[in-house]
Amino acid sequence: MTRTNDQVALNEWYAIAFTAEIPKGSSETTTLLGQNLTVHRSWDGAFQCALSDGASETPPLLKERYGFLWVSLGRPSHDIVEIPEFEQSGRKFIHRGRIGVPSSGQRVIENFFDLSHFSFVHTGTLGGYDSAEVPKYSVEYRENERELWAVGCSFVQPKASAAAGGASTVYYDYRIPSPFISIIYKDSLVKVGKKDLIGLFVHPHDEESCTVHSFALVHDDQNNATHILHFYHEIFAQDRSILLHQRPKKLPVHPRREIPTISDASSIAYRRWLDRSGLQFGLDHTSN
Amino acid sequence: MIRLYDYILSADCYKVRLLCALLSVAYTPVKVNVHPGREHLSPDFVRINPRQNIPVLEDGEHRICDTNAILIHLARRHDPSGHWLPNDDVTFNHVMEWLGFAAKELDLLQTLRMRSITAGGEPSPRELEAAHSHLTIIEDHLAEGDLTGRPWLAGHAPTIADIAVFSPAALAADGGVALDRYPALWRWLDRVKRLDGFIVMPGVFPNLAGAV
Repeated sequence: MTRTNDQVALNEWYAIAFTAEIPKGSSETTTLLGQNLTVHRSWDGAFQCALSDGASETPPLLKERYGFLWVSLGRPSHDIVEIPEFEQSGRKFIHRGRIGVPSSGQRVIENFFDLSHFSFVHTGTLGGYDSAEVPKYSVEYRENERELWAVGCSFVQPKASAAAGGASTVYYDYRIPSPFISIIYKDSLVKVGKKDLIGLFVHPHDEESCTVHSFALVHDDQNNATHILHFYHEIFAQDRSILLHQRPKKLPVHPRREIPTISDASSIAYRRWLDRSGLQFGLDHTSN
Repeated sequence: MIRLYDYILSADCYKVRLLCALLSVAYTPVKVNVHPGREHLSPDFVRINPRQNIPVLEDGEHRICDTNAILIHLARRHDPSGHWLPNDDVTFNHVMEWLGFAAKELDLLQTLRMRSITAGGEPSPRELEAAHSHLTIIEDHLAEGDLTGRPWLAGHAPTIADIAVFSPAALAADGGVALDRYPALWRWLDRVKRLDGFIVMPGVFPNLAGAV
């Protein structure tokens, strides 16, 4: 595999593993942005990461945060995304396991914050045929355009989470703090006024395949973690089955490649934002 | 009471969930964290099933640790119509052959699918070749059935053979094995989806005629 020379992609932080997935004293190989890597965990629990080939390149940077292992192949001007809720008490942390998707990472992110597909892909849980309308929401750029947000989203959901007893209108904000990360802040059905978080950290292997590392921080004292996990795997596997049929596998960003409706506002903003960022990796810039 | 040790993404568990739905058999699921927890390999689970796999069905005094054995048990005990596991020698033998085929040959489709979903990689050319040769066996059998008026894998009514083969075949694309070149198989998948009480799982899409 060939390492990308896309500096925008190289200068990002990527979650490449959940730390508990790698036993002490063992190694794991993986690929990030076309670069083969070896991650080693010593017997005292510390991680090291080295390039498996292309030793002339700058050595990778490595950090542990939120229970995940983060790597940058470049020299990012910013730190790993801030998620203060990891420090707050009251929520249950769930590691949702790694899921492989043979598609560009940006396709996964775009699908994650798309509201229109709920009724047709997650029928009976996140949507239904009788309530397919996407109510108006707004799109904002924050942190000097470093972050994209879709706020005031709402949807009628037959079963919005593992804790849901019946249908309800659920309010959401989506945060896209990097091209490869998205976090949903969703009204808790258990604690009124509190938010549940679900986050995807996409680990792009190459332009057309990725692994999705993800977590949930939820208010739920009723269900055990395995029950909640089954709910998430059901949702994610439905998305995955759609994603692997999307063509082209790279995400098209040229305006002539789409015929959007108003409900696609967040997707259109994401594509324009990616295009302006100078990112090439995983994107299809052609106009037809 | 019937209990099913279940994982939502398991194609074998789906066979059992689907047959229970078609037979209107109620059960209590015991959810197992297969991925990423690997709970089915834990010492606690070994005491339930030394083979360390799911599904496991508990029905009264019976504990059954094999997908085909569970399908046979459900059909024998909970199908008053008798058509899911017919008694006549010819159909019974065909059903048994297809159950063996589903467990042996089609295990590759299930392995490729779980490997791909859990980020373990995509199929090699050799694996793809083997997967397609197995799918071709189903396609040829069903295409012949289209010509001779046999719409199901064994005989003139759906049997547990159809359930055992449907799950891995319908989910093949999730493992990187495309079904584009199997028209008779597509028609049969659709026949299964139209059965009264049919349920989906992630990766299996319902027949939407009349729904939207």
